[in-house]
Amino acid sequence: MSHREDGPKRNLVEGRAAYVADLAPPGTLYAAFVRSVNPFGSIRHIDISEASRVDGVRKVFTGADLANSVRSLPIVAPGQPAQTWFPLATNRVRYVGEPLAVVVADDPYAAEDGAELVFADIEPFSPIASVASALTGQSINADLDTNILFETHKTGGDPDKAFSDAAVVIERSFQQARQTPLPLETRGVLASTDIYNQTLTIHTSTQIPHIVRTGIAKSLDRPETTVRVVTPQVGGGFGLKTQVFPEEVVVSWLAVEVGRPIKWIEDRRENLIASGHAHEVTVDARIASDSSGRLLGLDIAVTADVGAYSIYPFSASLEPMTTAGFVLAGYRIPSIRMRARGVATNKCPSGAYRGVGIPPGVFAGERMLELLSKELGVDRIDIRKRNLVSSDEMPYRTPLGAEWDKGDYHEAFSQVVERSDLRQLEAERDQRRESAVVLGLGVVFFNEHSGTGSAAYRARGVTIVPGFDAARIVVDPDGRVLVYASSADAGQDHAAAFRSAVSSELSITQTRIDVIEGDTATCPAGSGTFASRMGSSQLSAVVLAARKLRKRLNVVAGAVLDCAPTNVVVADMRYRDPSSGRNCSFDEVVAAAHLRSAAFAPRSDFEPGLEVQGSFDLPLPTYPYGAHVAAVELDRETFQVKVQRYIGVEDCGRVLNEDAVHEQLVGAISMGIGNALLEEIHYDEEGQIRTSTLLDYLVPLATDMITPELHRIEHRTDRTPLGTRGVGEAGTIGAICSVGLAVADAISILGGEMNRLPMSPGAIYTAISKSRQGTYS
Amino acid sequence: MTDDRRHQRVSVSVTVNGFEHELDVEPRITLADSLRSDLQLTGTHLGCEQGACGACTVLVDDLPVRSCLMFMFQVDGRNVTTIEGLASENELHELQRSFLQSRALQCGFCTPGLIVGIVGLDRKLTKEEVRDYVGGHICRCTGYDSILKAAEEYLSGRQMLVEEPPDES
Repeated sequence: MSHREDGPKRNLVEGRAAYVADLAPPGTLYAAFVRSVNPFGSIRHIDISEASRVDGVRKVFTGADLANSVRSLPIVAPGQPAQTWFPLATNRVRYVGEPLAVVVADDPYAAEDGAELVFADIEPFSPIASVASALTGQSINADLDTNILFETHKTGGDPDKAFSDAAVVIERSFQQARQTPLPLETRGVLASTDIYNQTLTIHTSTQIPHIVRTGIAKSLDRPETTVRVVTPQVGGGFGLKTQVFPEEVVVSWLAVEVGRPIKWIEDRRENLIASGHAHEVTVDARIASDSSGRLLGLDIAVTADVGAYSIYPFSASLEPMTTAGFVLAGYRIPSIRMRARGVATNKCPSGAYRGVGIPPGVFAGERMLELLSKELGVDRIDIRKRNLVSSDEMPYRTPLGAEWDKGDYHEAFSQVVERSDLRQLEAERDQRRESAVVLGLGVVFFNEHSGTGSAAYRARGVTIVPGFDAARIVVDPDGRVLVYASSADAGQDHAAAFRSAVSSELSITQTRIDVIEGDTATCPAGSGTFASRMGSSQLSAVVLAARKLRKRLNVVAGAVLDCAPTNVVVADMRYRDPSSGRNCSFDEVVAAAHLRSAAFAPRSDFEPGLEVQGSFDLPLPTYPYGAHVAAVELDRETFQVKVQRYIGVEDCGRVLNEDAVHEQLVGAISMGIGNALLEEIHYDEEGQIRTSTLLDYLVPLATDMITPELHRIEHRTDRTPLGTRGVGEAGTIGAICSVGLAVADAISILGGEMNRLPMSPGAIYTAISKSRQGTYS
Repeated sequence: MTDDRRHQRVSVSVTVNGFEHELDVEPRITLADSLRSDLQLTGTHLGCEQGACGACTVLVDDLPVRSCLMFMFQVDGRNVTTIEGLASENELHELQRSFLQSRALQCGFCTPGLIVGIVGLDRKLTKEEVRDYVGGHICRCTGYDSILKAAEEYLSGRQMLVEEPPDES
C-alpha cells in the first residue's frame, strides 16, 4: 500500500505501522543469501546439492541461473569506462559478504538452514585491503584494468603563485574511517507478481522508489510500467537506502521465476558487512597563508576507498567529488588545486551516509585553520573572520566553480561565538590544562549543498539520478486534497511540511489534506529523498503544484461567481468576488469543477476536474550553513571523551515547522557525535571484516548525548520558491567537525596531534604516545 | 539431508496481552519471531537479533526482556506483554501519549521496544537512572532528548521520578 499519512504518528506508538518485515501475503516464500567468506577470488564451483535437500528448501539459485534473464547494469563514472553491475557474483567474489547464491524456502529458518549448507569453492587471489595495495595490485573488477574507479582534477586561480608568495604553508593528511549509516530497520524486500506476470510489485525499504523501479526494470528487461515499487513504513535511511541493491534485483527476479511472493529481510550482520559503507576518505591538504592569516591558496588530494565497485546510481564519484568541493567551505580562497579519486578495494561498496563527503572536507579545512592559527599566533576566531566570505560578496563563485547563494556567514559565526560565550570557554579550558580531565574546544563554520539538481549531477558525471522532484495534487470530488510526491519518507515527517505548505497556498485547512509518497504507481517520477532535498527541492515542487492548483481553483470560482478569476479573493475556504459580494465555499468550487463543466464550457479558461502537476529542478544547489561549537572533556588517564556542551547556529532558510527542523538537527547531531567518537568499520590486512555486530560497531546511546543549544538565523534563498534551504544533514556535518576539533584540541593540550576520525580512546592514546615518543627520542 | 530438528515441536501455553494461546513451535524459534509470525504481533521489531539494540523489548511477567534472545518455549506458562497490549479499548496508554506529545519518535522503529521497556520499569528512578535505562535502546533518528522528556514526564506522572536515589546508604 502507498504510504498514507494516517494521523499524527499514532500508528507508530501503537506498533501498527507496516514495515516491510511485517508484510506477509499468503503463499510467501523466504529467501536467504549465501555470501562470500573470501574477500577476493575466482569462483571455481558452488555446491548447492546439500542445501537443496534441506527440508523446507524449495530451490537454490546461483549467478549462473540469472545470467540469461538478468541484464547487467552499466555504472558510469566520469573519466572511467563503464563498469557493469550484476547482482550475484558469477566469476569472481570481490568482498566478504558479496552475495553469490540465494536459497528459497518455506520459512526464514529453513532458508538459513539451506544457506549454511551451500559451499562455494573459491580460488583466492591476494586480497587488496587498502588504497596503497589497490594502486599496485590486480584489478578487482574483471572488466576494468584499473582499481581507480573515478578520477578528476580541477584548478582555479593560480595556486603555484599562491604557494610561492605564502608566508606560511601548512601541510597535513586527514582521515575519516569507514563507517555505515546503520538505520535501525535493516533492508528488506517483498516482491510478487500478479498471476499473469503483468505487474511485478516490489515492497522495499528504500529512499529512492523511482530509481529502484528503473534499475529493476532495466535489469529484468521489462517496461517500467510493469514494475511497481512501493515503500512501506521505512525505519530510517540516512543515505544507506539510496542504492539499487543486488538483493532487490534478485528477489524481484525470484518472484517472477518462482511464481510466488518472495520475502527477504536483512539481518544486522549482513547490514554491517554487506549493505553500504561510507566515509573512508583521506584528504591530503596544503594551505598557503599570508602573515596575517589571510588564505591565499589551497591544494588538496582527496582519496576515497570506495569498496569493490561503483554503486548504482551514484557511482564511485559521490564521496571524493563532494569532499573536494567542501574543504574550507564558506571561506574565501583565491586559488585552489584539487584532485579527487575513488579507488576500489576488496571491501563492501561505498555509498551515501548523511553528510556524504562533506564532513571529511570540512574537518580537514577547519583543522588546517586551527594549525594555521597556532603557527601564526593569530586567534582562532579572528582567523575565521578574516577569511569567511562576507554577505556583500555573495552570491560567491569559488575558483572551482561552485556558486554559494546569499547568506550571512559572519552573522552565524558571530552568533555562535557569542551564544557559546566562547571566550569564557577558552578561559575554562586554559584553567583546566593541568587537570585530570581537560577541556577541549572546537569551533567550526561550514556550508553544504542541498537539493542537488540535474545540472549539478550531470556536471559530476552522475547520469542516472533525475535531479528533479515532482508533485501531483488532486482534489477528489469529495473535497479531499491529495498530494502525491516523488519523495520518500524514512521518518522525517514530510507530510507535515507538505500539508502546511499546501494549506497556506490554497487557504484550506490542513485536515483536508492527505500526503502520499513512495508508490511509483501513483506518485510522479522524481529523485527520491537524499541530499537534504525535501526542504529545498521536493517542497518547492509541492508549492509549484499548489500554485497551479490555486490558479485552477480561481478559474472555477470565477465561473461560479461570474467574475474574472483574478478578482477572486480566497480566505478560510471561501471564495469571494469583492465587487459583487457573491461568494461560495471550497466544496462548491470542487463540485462545480467536477459536475458543472457543461455550464462553464463556454468560458474559454475553464478546464474540468482538479488535478495538476508541478516539478522543480534546482539549477544551482542552495547552501544551508552553520557555525557550531563543541566543548568536550578528555580524561588524561582513561582517554574517555564526554561531550559537555554543544551550541549550534544554523541557517536553513525559511522554516515551515520549527519542531521538525529542531528534531532533524538534534538527531543529526547525535549521529555526528557517533561518527566523531565511536563508529568504525574494521577490515584486517587480509580483507576480513571484523565489525559484524553492534558490540563491535558502536553507535551513540542516550548516555553519550547532551542536549544541544540550537539557534536559528534565517536568510531565505532566492533559489527556491519559499526560500527554504533544507536541514537534514547540517547537524551531522557540524557535530563531526566541531566534536572532532574539540577532541583534537584536548589532545593537543596533552601533547599529541590527531587528525583522524573517530577519536576513540584507543586512538587517542596512540596519538598521544606517538608524540611523547617523538619528544623523547 | 533431512534435519530432524525441523520436525521437532514443543507445546507452549502462553498468555499474550491477556489472551491465552496454545502453540506448537520449533524449539529453536525465538520469542520475537514467534510473536511476529505465529501470533501476527508485528509491533515488536528486530533491529539486531544480537541483544544490543532493545527494539525487540517485551515484558515477560511484567519485566522487560530482549525477546530476540529468548526462545518461545521459555515463556511456557508465563505472561507476555507487547506494544499491542498497552492501549485499552481505543485509549492510548499514558506513555504512548507522552511519546506523541514530546515528539519522541521519527521513523518509529525503536519506539515499541522503548515504550514497553519504560512501562516495565518497576521502581523509582532519578533522571540519571532514566538516562541509563534509555541507554539500553538504540535510536538513530531523535538524538534521545525527546525520548528522555517523554519518559520523565510519564514517570513523574506516576510519582516514579525522584531527585535522589531512593534509600542508598
